[in-house]
Amino acid sequence: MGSRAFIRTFLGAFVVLTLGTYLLILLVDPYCNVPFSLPLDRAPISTNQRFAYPTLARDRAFDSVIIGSSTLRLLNPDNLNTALAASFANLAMNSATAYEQMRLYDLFMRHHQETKFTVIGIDDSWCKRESVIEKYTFREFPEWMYDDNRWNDLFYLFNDKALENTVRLLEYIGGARRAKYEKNGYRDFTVDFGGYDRDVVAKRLYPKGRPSGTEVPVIRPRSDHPEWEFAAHALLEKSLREHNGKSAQTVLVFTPMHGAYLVKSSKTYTECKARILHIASTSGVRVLDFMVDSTITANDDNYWDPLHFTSDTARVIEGDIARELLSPGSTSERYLAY
Amino acid sequence: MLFSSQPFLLLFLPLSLITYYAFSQSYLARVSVLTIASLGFYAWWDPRFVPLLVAMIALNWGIVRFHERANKRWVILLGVGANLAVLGLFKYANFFAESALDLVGVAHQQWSIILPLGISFFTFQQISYLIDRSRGEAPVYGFVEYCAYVSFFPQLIAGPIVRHNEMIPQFAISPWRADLGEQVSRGLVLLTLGLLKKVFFADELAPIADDGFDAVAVGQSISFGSAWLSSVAYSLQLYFDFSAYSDMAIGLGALFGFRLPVNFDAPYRALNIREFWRRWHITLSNFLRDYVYIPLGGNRGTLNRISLIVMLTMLLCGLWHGAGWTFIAWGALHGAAICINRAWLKTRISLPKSLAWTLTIAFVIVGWVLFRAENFGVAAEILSAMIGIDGATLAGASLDDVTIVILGAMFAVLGPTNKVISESPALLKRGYAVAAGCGLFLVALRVGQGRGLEFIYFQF
Repeated sequence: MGSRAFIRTFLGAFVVLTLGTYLLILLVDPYCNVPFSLPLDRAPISTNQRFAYPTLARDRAFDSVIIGSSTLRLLNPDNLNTALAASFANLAMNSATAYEQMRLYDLFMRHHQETKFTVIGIDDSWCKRESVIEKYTFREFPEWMYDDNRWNDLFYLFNDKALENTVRLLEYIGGARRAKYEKNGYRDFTVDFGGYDRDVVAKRLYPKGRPSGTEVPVIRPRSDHPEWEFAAHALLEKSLREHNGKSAQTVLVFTPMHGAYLVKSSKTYTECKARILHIASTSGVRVLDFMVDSTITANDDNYWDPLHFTSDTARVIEGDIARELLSPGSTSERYLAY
Repeated sequence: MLFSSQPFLLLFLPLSLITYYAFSQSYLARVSVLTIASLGFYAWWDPRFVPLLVAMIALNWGIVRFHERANKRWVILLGVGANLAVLGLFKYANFFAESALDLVGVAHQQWSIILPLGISFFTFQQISYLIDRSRGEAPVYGFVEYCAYVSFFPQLIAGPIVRHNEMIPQFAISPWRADLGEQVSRGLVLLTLGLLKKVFFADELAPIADDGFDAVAVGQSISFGSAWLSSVAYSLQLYFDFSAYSDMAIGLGALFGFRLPVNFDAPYRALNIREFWRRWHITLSNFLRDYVYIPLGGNRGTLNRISLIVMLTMLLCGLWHGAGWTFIAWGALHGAAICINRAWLKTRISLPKSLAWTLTIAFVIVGWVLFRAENFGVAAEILSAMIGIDGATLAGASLDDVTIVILGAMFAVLGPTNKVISESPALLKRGYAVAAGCGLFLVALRVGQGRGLEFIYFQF
């Protein structure tokens, strides 16, 4: 074979494979962000929610949203829809930083000028004492998906991950695969854990052994340390100021972490809570505080680990949130409302 | 931009090649195209350093012109001093200041100096030209061709360290030679093999190496198995990473019709440490031999005197690699090993090949621990674990990681080098062309996520 024919064959193989693959990705459009893709029945297919959820945030079919980290993942939109006559998307992402949560909240609100309910989970990610916010985790966060220009996304779609998700989506469309998340973003991740084992859970809740007695601290909001910095709070304040007017009701939910976990950082949470309450009051937003001594936080059986409650507990919390949104001012021993 | 990135592979390289060959009939035009493309390539990394690169080129060229008229040796010495001063300022100022202040017990506040990419490479290149000029072994080149030589993008960032007489005479020859097609074919294959090695070997080994070193750096303990796994993984990562870059550089040079010098020749097959240095970073070894070792006396004199010169050369080699005492210690370690090897040769006792290889590779791996560790404490911790001070447990070494490392080791020691593959007489076949095209496609697809690691040697 001559060298010219070799070069032609080399370039031919490269160009055909490159263009063919790129065209396939663009037409199948695994993240739903190509303006000219085929009209297919898509579902959130990427295992990385940071890639899967922007399309849900842009979807006008939803009028209500849950923002947060994995601590609110188990709230089922279907239950809230029934109770509140709304159309919820659960966009809470695993290990989401406060920055990532606000990027998704901003995107949702930019595409929804009139929202019924907005639920924002406040957990560890919002109570980190740091002067500069840590924006990302080891999980890739595609900033390019979070702007309002879908055309510039085309530069980021020729890669092996996009191809993998293209194949997954084709399998889903062909009935050979289930979508990673439901079309409203919800997924009961506890099905991956196998059966509930109290001994295993106890080891997660009490890694250094069970202390004597129940030690759920009463974390009352009180600002004793004005010098502490919570860099994430400025993001929340800014986003609420910008978007809160578009939502009929917004509620910040302090998630119910297990009592033994709260003991370790009760001073930090006390200060964090006071700051968040201040932001909420100045932004005209209500707060539901499940981070209290209650039948939820004091009972080991309500948890998988210190941060994540069970599906049964999620049903209780859904009920409380729905009741509070329908009838503000309801009281319960499980939470405090501000 | 990285060679292993889509902007480079899908935009910069095709555009540069098309423009170069479109203007290739004119010597001045094609050399100018090369220079402009190279400066654009450098600016993509950080445009702030382009003026420094251009100024360094102009300064050295000006010094040679001045030397041509004045014919005074001090002009060249001044030029070499100026190059070393710039290198010292950007690369070593903090290190020297910190070391000096340490002696008097004062803490050094780090100066905010950003290291320009590839400065060690293009500084050494220009120093070699100045010295060759003073020896009467180099002509005075035109500014445009000198500029194209120093800035030539395939070798600008991480070598090979190309000598002026290896590169500039090639500019004068039209690329449209009878063997251009074959050279480009082999260049495409070498570039692709280098990219595959970088993306699918070096980058896969990186996290295995990092796991152990990072854990020790933050105060965690490390087991015997994990220490060996991380050290071997790093040894392989470094080789695959750096030799891949050299493969790509040589392959890219071939696409423009140039031959760049070989930089690696299966170093982990070496049977003694001197052979290792004849196979590892060959262009640096040659530079140190020709511009440090021989001028200091070379092989002349007593064994003690030669050993002293070897030690000085290898200390400089260590310092070149990084501004830190661990690098200097690494250089000293290799210098001592070379001296011992020289002394051993005088005994005329030859070891069985398997034993010689085992001793050499074990020494090299131990040396890389010093090279990689953030400080002596981390190195000592890992080396202690490697000799089993806390027991020879394999805890923490996952089977997957071990498999990857063993495969990598087999490839590094037993497999053919990319140079051998790309120069094979049987290469020009349809099947190989399709396979190479698929390989480049796989790399382009893989690097599209923006998760590619940077080449390790960029920091030097």
